[in-house]
Amino acid sequence: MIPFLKRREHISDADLSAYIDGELTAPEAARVLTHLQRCADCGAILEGLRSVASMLAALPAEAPSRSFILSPAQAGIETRRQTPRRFAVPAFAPAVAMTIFVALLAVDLLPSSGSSDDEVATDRSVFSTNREAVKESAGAGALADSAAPAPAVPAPATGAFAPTPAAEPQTAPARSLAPEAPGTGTGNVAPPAEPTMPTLQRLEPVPTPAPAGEAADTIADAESDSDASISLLRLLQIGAALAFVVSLVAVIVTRSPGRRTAS
Amino acid sequence: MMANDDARLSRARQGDLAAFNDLVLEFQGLVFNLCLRMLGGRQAAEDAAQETFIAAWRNLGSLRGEAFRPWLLRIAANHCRDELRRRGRRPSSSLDLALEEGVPEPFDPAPAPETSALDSELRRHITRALEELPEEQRLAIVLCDIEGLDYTEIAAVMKTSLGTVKSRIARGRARLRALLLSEAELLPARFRHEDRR
Repeated sequence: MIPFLKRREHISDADLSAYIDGELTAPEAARVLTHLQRCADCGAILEGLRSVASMLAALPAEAPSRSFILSPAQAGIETRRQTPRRFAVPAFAPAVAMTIFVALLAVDLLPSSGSSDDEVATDRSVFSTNREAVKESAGAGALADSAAPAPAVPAPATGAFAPTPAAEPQTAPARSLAPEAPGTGTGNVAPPAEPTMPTLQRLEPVPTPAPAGEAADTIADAESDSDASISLLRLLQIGAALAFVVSLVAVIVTRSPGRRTAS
Repeated sequence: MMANDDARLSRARQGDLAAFNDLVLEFQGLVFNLCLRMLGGRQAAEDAAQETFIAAWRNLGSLRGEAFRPWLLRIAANHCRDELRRRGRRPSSSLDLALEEGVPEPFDPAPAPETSALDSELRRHITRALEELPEEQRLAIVLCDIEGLDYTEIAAVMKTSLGTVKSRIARGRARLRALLLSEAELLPARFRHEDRR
């Protein structure tokens, strides 16, 4: 047993431990050193602590089997930027598609508010090949019903009514002819007629009297042209609508996983 | 912390991942060994080390004025604590397996000079005894005796006072010694002192 007074003189484990590590102040270290010179007990404890410390220090530093450097994905850098970019569907794509669709609808409705001359003119320039072909067939004596060289859809319709205006190059016949057009034209061209189609064709006669002086082939021309342009317009409208739906779905699909990776 | 580290650190804080990865390469051994001694298993230690660096990268902004190394080691220690808590206090003994299998060292093919200082049997006993220590004592001891940090830096890692660090290290060493003495026949002769108390 260590007497109380003698016990008090001993150095604490904490100080002995800190002495090993050189963490005592100079006066503290001097006190410990003085004590150790005459106290075997504290010396034994010191050696015990020191041996533990040196054994731990002798444990080999292990090397990891891999490096921990961060990939851009781990750092959260590229994932945020890359994921949406890979699918490349801008968020405004559906809006653009919808705008185009609405614009095409507006073009569709344009003749009702004013002259169709502009439209017809545009159509002529765009579908000049078609126009030339129709002119040829009309100018060739209009017998070309079977040989109608007009390409694509409106060909049968042209063949059906082209001869009449060629024979009577006046406004009246043209007018009487035009209402017929919805029946023959739509019936032949596009059996599953869209609702606006007849309306548009019924509207045709209103502007046609304006270029009354023109040759009948021009009228026939306009008819066939508007047929072509209407069906093409229809295709463009459907295309724009499809583009809207597809881009909307694409944006929804690509944005949500992007948000998931970012978080 | 060297001036070089400061430069890399400030570049990393501006989002320079390459600069940060330089720091990773410098400190990954330290972080991995801390995790290894705290968790016991290589796989768990590698996972914790990787998590540490990811968390460090994400939280570089919260490092204000503090030295990088103790801050990084504190993140690692916290990950180890979380992992120990998650698996319910007792660390796995997978380190034993790892030691038996031999340690692959792809980044340092030359064997460490200390490898021969302790035979593998003794090393196993030391690491097992280390796992028996209370968490905070083990952390203090690992930081001091294995990682070689001074008390001031250990206090910074553990966010505690110098006095607490001092007593944790002393109690940890004394406890470890008692644990090792229970298998005294394995210990070097110089270690077999009888305890005074």
